[in-house]
Amino acid sequence: MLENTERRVEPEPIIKVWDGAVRVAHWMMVLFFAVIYLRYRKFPIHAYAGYLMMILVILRVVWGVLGTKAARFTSFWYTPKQVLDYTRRMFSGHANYYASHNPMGSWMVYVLLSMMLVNGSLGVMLYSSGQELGPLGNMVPEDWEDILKGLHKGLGHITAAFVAMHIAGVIWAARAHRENYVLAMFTGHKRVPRQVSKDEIADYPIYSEEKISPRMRPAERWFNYRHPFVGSIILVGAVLLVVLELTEALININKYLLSY
Amino acid sequence: MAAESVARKSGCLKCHGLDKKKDGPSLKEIAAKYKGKADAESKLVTHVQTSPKVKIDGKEEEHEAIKTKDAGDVKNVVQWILTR
Repeated sequence: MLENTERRVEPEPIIKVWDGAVRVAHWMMVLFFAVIYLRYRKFPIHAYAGYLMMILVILRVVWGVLGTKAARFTSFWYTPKQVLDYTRRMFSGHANYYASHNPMGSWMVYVLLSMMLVNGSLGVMLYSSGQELGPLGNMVPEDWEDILKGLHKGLGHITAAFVAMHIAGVIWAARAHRENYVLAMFTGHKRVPRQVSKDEIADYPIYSEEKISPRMRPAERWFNYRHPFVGSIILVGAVLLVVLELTEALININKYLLSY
Repeated sequence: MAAESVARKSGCLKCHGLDKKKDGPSLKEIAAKYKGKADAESKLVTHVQTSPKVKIDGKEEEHEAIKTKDAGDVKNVVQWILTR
């Protein structure tokens, strides 16, 4: 039930989708968010990770205008009707193929990018209000501290809920599309099922299978062709473990950081 | 001003407002508590350097340490606190 027996016979074409900038930025954001949220009481690393996150988000927005095809917002701009339509198709087992983000995924991108910017800004204001630290110095009134704190914390938890939904959504989409979304965000390339129209993938370069090093081919076959759903769950688990370890390691440097 | 700046850079004001109680008592409250006590300075110097366990919202945590190794700076910060 979970194995794609049909795909073992003849591998489908592969296209290159996510460029290096998108992939590196994505995983850096994952690490920053882990530090920001899971250890939010640790200062000033919380603030510094917040600044870095906002810089990354702004860079991603610029890249969404100027970058490669898959990275551009125009490649994943969907109306609410299209999102609903996609959702219905997913539930009925007939999800369409999308080279770049699918409609639900695209909305998640916009929601997460926005929340990081909004809550980051609230954090910068709170830092100024509560401790006269950060780029706003002593500009934000002290009286605003309690309100800003409530808003910043609340939005922080809401953002974390969206992140959790994002992870669940990626795993669900891996099942519905029979693609390993997590692997694609590492390698940048995606399989294209035979029945997909040529128009959808017309602007994306074909990724020759020869480019995958012979050592990695068995793993690629397992994670991407035979078990994309289970494979995506395994990769999410691996990412969580690595990110948690890195977070703890980074938190150790907090005691040496001065607050500005 | 130098002592206040060291305190801010160590993040002290995150939990101890000047007049406002946050996660910890306000600096005004600490100054009042130690007013007239002979061992005030030595107690506070120890407190800010050894990360003793403190209770915040019922949960026990390690108190963050002051971020300077300079004994003179530590003394200045403590004196600044005691005069709030």
